[in-house]
Amino acid sequence: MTAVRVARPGLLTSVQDTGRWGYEHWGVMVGGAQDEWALAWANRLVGNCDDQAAVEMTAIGPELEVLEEGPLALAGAELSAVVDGHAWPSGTARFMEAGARIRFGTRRSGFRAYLAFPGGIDVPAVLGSRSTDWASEIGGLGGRPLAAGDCLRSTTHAATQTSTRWPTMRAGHVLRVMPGVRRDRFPASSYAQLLTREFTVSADSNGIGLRLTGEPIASPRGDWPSEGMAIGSIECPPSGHLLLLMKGRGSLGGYPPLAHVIRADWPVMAQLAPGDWVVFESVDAEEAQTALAEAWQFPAGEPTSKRLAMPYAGWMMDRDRYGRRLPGAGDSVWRGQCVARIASTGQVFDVVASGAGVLERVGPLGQWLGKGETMMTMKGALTNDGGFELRHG
Amino acid sequence: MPKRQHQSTMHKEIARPWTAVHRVGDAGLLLQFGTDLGEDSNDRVHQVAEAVLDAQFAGVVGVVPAFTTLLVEYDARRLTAEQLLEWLQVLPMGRSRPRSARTWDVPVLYGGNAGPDLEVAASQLGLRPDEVVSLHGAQIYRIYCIGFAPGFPLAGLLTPALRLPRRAIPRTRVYPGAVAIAGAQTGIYPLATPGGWHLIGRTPVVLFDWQDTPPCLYRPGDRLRFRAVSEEEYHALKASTSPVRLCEVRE
Repeated sequence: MTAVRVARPGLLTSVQDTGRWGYEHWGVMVGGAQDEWALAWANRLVGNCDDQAAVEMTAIGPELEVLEEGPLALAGAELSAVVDGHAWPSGTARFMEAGARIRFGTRRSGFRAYLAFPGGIDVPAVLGSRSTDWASEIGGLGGRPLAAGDCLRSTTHAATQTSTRWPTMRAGHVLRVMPGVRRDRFPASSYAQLLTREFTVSADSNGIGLRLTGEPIASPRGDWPSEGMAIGSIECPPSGHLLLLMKGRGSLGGYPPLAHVIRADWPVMAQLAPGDWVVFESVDAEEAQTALAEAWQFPAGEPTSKRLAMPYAGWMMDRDRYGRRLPGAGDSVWRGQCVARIASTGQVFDVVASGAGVLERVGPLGQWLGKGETMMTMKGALTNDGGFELRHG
Repeated sequence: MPKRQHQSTMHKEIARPWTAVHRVGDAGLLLQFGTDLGEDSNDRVHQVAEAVLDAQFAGVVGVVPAFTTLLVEYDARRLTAEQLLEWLQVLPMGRSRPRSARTWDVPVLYGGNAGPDLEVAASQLGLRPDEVVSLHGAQIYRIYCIGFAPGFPLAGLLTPALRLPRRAIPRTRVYPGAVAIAGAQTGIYPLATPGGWHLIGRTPVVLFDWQDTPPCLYRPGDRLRFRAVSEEEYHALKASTSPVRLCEVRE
């Protein structure tokens, strides 16, 4: 059995599985791991099912002492983990000797990381889930985030421990949305404002919701009874400052939602940190379904790297057609996403990814580049030769 | 954007209790039961909610019944909105006929430490504290839905004489058992949670027990009757060795 003791808890560290689903009609919140995709990766690396209870770490990781030897797996955000002085990258499982010390350092990318134990962490389930709900003080260890002195134990010995070279989180700044269920209560301009502006994740965001700052959205005037509010809903209070609901939200809400972040992008939303910029892209139901299927593929084998070359001589612009930022190195992108904008002689083109992947290197922006020079490199399951398409901007 | 509009609203095909169905992204469907905030439409909300829960359809991950709407959440990895809607169209609802409503007796110690907002609320309402207590206890309240916190009953409707806007600054932690009012509604905080309602009393009864199935005894459609108790009675109930659960009012 793998067992660890918490020497220092970090910023907000807790036991989470996929959440306490199925009891919202009693007012019980879903909660659970904010990034279910990274949780699934961590679990897979030690041979678990996707939904086993693991440790969720937020921005600043804990310091752990290994009490009993065994494997542990790390996935999600890159929080500079070190085991007895040796770097432990996200996306790998390690066999930990008794007495080893696991420390976390600077946050390099993403916001939430997951530490999986063989068979999951041995804590009792409450209403079918081991997730910690500290508002209701149930689940996990005593219904609270981890504290110094806490001990965590795996439920089984691991048979396997693996690594992956695929990114174990889907970092990005572009969230795909569908029109809000109460969009008819908004002025006609509100949805277009959402899709053409850039927002910043505010410092007073938490696991209940991300507060977005930016130019206020035209908000609806009126008073409506509370109703069921789905995860991913973008609520618009009278102030016009948006609140994006995360998995820790209460099931009832009163502000009409302008849009809903699609399920495929909940893991992207979970990795946004305070200060990050974010923009929204509208999709229809069919595109959302395709996106979800693509997002939940766990590729095997090695990712391929591809160089994207300038199709014409020109400048790579640093803003999209609305003046919003474009994805950069480390961002995961999907098929059909606009990844760059080129100004050539008298013409402007949008560059659209023709496969899903992660941008490795982008730019240089704002410099004259000759035809055939490197525009960006991208890592992923890139089978298409071109790697991108051009559209007149 | 007429095309998008069409995609976000789907219309019913056969007679069902709801009046409209809306997509909630790819996470759920929102069923609308008219816009009248009456008991009849709320009864239909809960009738369908119970039918959905009873049927245990694979891929349906939760229901949130509210006043005139029902949110049915699904896992889009296992189910499409179209499949869910098709299933809802043929969902059997005959078996889950409306359950007869029960009335629950809620013993309350009003005012003092048990109800720190009673005096202020009374003065804002232009009443004496004992008038607030007797008005609050004079009525039987329907539970319209449960939400905000585990087991929190949203009940009403309060007599207009007791209606106050919420506190300007919500409390970060409300003690469990707090009996509260806000707007036309009255409720009880079952657990220690943040809250912005006016706390006028406290019940010693355990409303939500994680170890019990179901964890809370009342359901939407049931009624709450608040009964003022003395400090002695409150402490006697509080001191009982096993947690005191709610009792039904027997006529």
